[in-house]
Amino acid sequence: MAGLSMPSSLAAASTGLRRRPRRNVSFDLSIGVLIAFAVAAIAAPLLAPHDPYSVDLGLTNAPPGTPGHPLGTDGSGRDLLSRLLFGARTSVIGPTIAITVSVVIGVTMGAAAAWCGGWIDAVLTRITDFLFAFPGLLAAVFAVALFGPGIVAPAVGIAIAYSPVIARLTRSVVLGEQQKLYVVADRTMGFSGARTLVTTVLPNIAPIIVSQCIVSFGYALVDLAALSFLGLGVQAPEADWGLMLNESLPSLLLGAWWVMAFPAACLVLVVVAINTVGEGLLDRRGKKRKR
Amino acid sequence: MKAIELIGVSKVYPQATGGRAALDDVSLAVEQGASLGLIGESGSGKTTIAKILLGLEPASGGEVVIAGHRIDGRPRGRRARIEHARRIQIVFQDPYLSLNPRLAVGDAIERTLRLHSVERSGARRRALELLAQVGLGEREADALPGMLSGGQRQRAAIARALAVGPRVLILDEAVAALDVSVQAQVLNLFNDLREAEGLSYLFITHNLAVVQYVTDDAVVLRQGRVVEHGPTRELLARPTSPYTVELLDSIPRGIPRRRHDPVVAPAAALTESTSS
Ligand SMILES: Nc1ncnc2c1ncn2[C@@H]1O[C@H](COP(=O)(O)OP(=O)(O)OP(=O)(O)O)[C@@H](O)[C@H]1O
Ligand SMILES: [Mg+2]
Repeated sequence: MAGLSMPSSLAAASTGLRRRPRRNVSFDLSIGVLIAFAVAAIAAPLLAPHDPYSVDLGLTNAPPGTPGHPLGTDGSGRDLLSRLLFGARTSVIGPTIAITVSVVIGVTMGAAAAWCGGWIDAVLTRITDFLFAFPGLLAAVFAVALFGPGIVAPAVGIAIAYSPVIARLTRSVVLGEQQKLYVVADRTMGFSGARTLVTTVLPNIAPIIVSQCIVSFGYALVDLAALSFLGLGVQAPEADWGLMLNESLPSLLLGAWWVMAFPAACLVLVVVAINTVGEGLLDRRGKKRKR
Repeated sequence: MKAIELIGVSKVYPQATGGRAALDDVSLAVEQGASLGLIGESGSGKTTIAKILLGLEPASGGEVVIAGHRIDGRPRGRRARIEHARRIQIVFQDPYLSLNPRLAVGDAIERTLRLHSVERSGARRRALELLAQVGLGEREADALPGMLSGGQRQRAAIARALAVGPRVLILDEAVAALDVSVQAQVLNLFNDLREAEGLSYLFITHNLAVVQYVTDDAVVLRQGRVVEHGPTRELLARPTSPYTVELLDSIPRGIPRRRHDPVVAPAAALTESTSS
């Protein structure tokens, strides 16, 4: 033990460091970006200088810096900034639906598999593996083929394709949680399995599931934007980032690169920020759980 | 009627390597209001006996009877679950893992009380009574387990077990993780509760000082078999099986000690435990 003796101030400093890991700059920056976009989406009607739908055929493809149109206009003379602000709203509706549905499906399947075990686990795991083989976009295209384009059908398609990720994660964390003594204690005190699962296990694993949802949200945003870009998602004249990309093609041919660049930049910025936050949270939970 | 009776109980875990039996023809009994010590090296099957009694695991053979009721694996149905829980409860070794980290201690106890049909309005009062009984106040009742010391958590876990109103309490190394002075307090609490509530105990421990202090009889378990059984005092003074002799020699006698503590000089340990 003598070898371990060190000045107490030094010892305190090193344990202090270990307890509070250095703040992650990109994580904080990403949180800032997301807050800024959230505010923009909520306050869109207040912030937007124009009606996002009002067409001005006399002022098409105006460059950024045009008086009254800080980011310029699109091929129909609609104000880009206003459309981006309102687009922030439309663009999160789809992923929100997708993630909500996939959480319901995934958590139910994963928790049931882990909790019941036996043949139920075997069947659910097989179904999960099967769904895993389905690319999200393909599932969404199927859904559109069946139910027509719009927000809901592609979102549900994406939800089904994403649910196995949540199911697998839920299954593994529930299996770990099952061994915890306070879960065993619930059973010995006479609580039913279902009640223990819902009131003790699920609240304790919620943080890690939420972290995974944030990551999945980013992917859903990209996939749904891609569908809108292909004309299978949100329909004109709605303001939506994916749809704006789709509509920017003719402008691009005329050299008006900004019509495409701004929605693309928004999309990339938000997705990267969401991923950074989600992965960061998953990392922290992972570390905590391993301890 | 006996509080607990195991007759020729055996247990082979399905996943056990080479089909090795965790318990082999174990018979033991705890009289109403008595306290039985269960001693044995790590892996000898002590916790397995607890799990079978609690209905967490079915026995592979033999008969398990608690207060006249045969036990065989998990009780089925709400009524059976509740009735079984009222027969027998357990306090685990590690108070850091036995309480839900997201639930205030008082709420955890209230929740248990309500399951056992105490009215919502009366549950809070009863929870505070139970906590007071183990020496915890209203402030601890509103605290999350993470804010309490090991000893306080263990008391909370005891209060929670008592909330069910069991006739038998299993204590699986229930004081091993506690500080020396706290061990003494908790052991005294067990002795008090035994008188006040007429509880019977199955006291699983490595610690011979603890066995001496809180049990009347003791059973020595080795590789799933009972090798010795008798009044604690005699068993410790004149062990008949060579295994018990070896076991007694390998375990330090005297003052209860925290598991990973450096060895304390007896005099120092004595003053520490008496000063509390
Ligand atoms: N779930 C299980 N599956 C397979 N084998 C198990 C299981 N639980 C316990 N065992 C085995 O059964 C034997 C008895 O284990 P048990 O936990 O009852 O010992 P113990 O006396 O409580 O030991 P300790 O003092 O370390 O707590 C050991 O050999 C152990 O490896
Ligand atoms: Mg054990």
